[in-house]
Amino acid sequence: MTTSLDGHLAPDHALSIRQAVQQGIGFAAYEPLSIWEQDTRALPASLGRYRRRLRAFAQQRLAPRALALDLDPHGDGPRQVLRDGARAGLLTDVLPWPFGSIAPLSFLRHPLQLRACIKMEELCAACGGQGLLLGAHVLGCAPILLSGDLGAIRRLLLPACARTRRGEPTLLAFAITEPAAGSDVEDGHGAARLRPGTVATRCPGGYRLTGRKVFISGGDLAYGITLFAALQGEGMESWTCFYVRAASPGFEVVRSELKMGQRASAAAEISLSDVFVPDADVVGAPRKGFGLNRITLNFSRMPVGAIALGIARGALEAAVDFAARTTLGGKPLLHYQEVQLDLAQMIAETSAMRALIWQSAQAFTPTQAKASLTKLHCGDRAVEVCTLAMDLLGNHSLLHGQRVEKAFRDARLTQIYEGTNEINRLAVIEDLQETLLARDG
Amino acid sequence: MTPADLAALRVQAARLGLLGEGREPETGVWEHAHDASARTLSVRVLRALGEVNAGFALHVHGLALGRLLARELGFDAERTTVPCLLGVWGLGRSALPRHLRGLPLDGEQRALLADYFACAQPRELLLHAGDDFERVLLPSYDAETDQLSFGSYDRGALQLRAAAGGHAPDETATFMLARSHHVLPAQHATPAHARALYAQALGLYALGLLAIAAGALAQAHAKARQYAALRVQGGVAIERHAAVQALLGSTTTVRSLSERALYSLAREAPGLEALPAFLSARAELHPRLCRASNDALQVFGGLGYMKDTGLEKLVRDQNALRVLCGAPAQLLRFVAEWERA
Repeated sequence: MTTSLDGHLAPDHALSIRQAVQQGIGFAAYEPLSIWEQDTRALPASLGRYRRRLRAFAQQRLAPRALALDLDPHGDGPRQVLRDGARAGLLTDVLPWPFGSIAPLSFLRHPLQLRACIKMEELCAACGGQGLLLGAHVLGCAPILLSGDLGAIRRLLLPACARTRRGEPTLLAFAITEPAAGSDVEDGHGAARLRPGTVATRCPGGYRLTGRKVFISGGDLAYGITLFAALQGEGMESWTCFYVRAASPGFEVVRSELKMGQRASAAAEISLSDVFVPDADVVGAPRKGFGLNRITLNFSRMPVGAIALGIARGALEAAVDFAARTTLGGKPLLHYQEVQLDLAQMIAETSAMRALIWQSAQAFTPTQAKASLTKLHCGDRAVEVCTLAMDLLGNHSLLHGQRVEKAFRDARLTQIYEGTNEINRLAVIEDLQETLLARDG
Repeated sequence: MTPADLAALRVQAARLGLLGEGREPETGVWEHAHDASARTLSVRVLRALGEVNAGFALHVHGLALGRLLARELGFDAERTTVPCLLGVWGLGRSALPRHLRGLPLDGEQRALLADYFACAQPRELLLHAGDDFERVLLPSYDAETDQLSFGSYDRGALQLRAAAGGHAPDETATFMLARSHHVLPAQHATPAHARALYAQALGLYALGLLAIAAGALAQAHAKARQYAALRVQGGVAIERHAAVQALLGSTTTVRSLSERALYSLAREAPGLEALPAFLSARAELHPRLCRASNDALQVFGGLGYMKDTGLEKLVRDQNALRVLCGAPAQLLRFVAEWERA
């Protein structure tokens, strides 16, 4: 086997970096490790083990079906993903054991969004769509968790986790977007002028909901949906979070969109016609929904950055594979400097994204500014990395089996959902406005 | 679009004179590639087709180029022919630009070029074309004689298989192509003529791709403009929001720049001298065309990501057009090597 790449010294050469570090002082010495391994070893032990477990799951369960699901996401494929994910504890990792699948100490020690970020990177490195299908479940659970309403957690989340553990994968989804309101529901300034489309009318014992929600990830397979609606006769200030059960009379999945990418997870349009929601299924308190929505987005935007990172890393790995096995002039492309330069750029980009994500996700309380800047930066860079991967492969990138064209299409969505990157830029400024006005940026 | 649909459209295009047959053959794309006015007309036609459907435009472009090459090489130009100009990866590193300029290649470069054109050993090449052709024009390189030549082959004479789920524009397909061992390249040109023809074809291929991409961006821009005028957010049409203005400004600017470059390039006679200019223009403009198309999609938000609005297809088509005929970084290295040589 070749021991060095063209243009680089072999590891046993006296002037190589390998010899230099081995001859250096103790703490300067290191063994050759992949970036993935270096980063994993830098994590606390429990999170490192978590990352390894996720990677194994993604490679064994998600990667083999990624290309097929991209071409044909209908049929039983997505349900099989949910079954596999449920068995691996990925639908119950929102609560500590014995209610969910997180080790209790780890649940207390590490922020939930850091675990979510590690998870989403690993799953989406194998397949953006399947990763989204499993990850959007946490988004559906988030308002319940973040409401601080222990009653709601007990009534709504614990049974969902129990159902999953019994072998019935139970998916939750998150529904805010409406046909006439996309960015408006992600941004206070827009929301202030919006006339809400989904309305909840008070009735004995609860509310009746009417309206439509669109682009709901996993909405076609969800058991329950944390859905936001305004109260009858009131504006966006009255937005309230309701837990709507998909089996409720009047609830209908109208259509699933034909998406550009991340196809394994459907973006569903749902219709509500006088759907009854009992008082017990109001999450948090009436009229506290918009705040709950904004807080939820603070927790979810960093994992979306991690989705982008995962997809970009998948493109990088596909590019390395291509360069290692494709030859020209009798040697693998990996030996050509122009290929090495492109790969190095992709490695640097993805490493920088990871550093930003892991640093931002360290806080137990994520701020809107940090969440939004992480999401928008990683989304934009992921698209650039995937573009670079396509360019490296050249016309080979148009072959489905090379995975990089799919990666581009998957990455593209991260510039749009959870608030477009334009809205997220404004969100950064909104959260920093006091400090900016005080000249303390 | 099925192969039968594509063939039916091709017949209609030919009747309209877009493919060199029909009532007015002088209007055919690339039919009179040596004439500046005819080249400009060809660019306008491809741009106009690209504005409606980039995939069909690419098919017409490929057939027209195949027809031009077949005629110049003395092959039967009436059979639908597509050229497969590129080799196994990239643009042949330093070997191809040096060889086209008529400069000597060392042993390693000759071996690389032979491998690049899949002449040294059985290797698969990629052909991107509408599934509506009878013959394929393939360049060959002989390392011993250091000579480039062309052959025209019935598709049945080649090992051709369509790649499942390919991502060339939807209306076209990606084929894996291998030369049959018993098929020898025909010699219809002197080595110098073959090099000049290859350079001409590569330049026209690049020019045509730019024209199609410019047309596709025009469609994306028009859709984004129309939507931004109608969609209200925060009480005002989004075309008045700074973020959307930045996106629309980007598409307008790149549209303007690419159209000017296109018609300026169309006046250059394609061939060895003009080749660096054609490839440089693609290297610089095509990434910008892709970003601008992306910006147009972004104006739509989530709607832009769904098939209904057509923006996601435009972005996919732009991506595909960008990597055909050499990706931008490969084009830049080709140009740098051309200058060094």
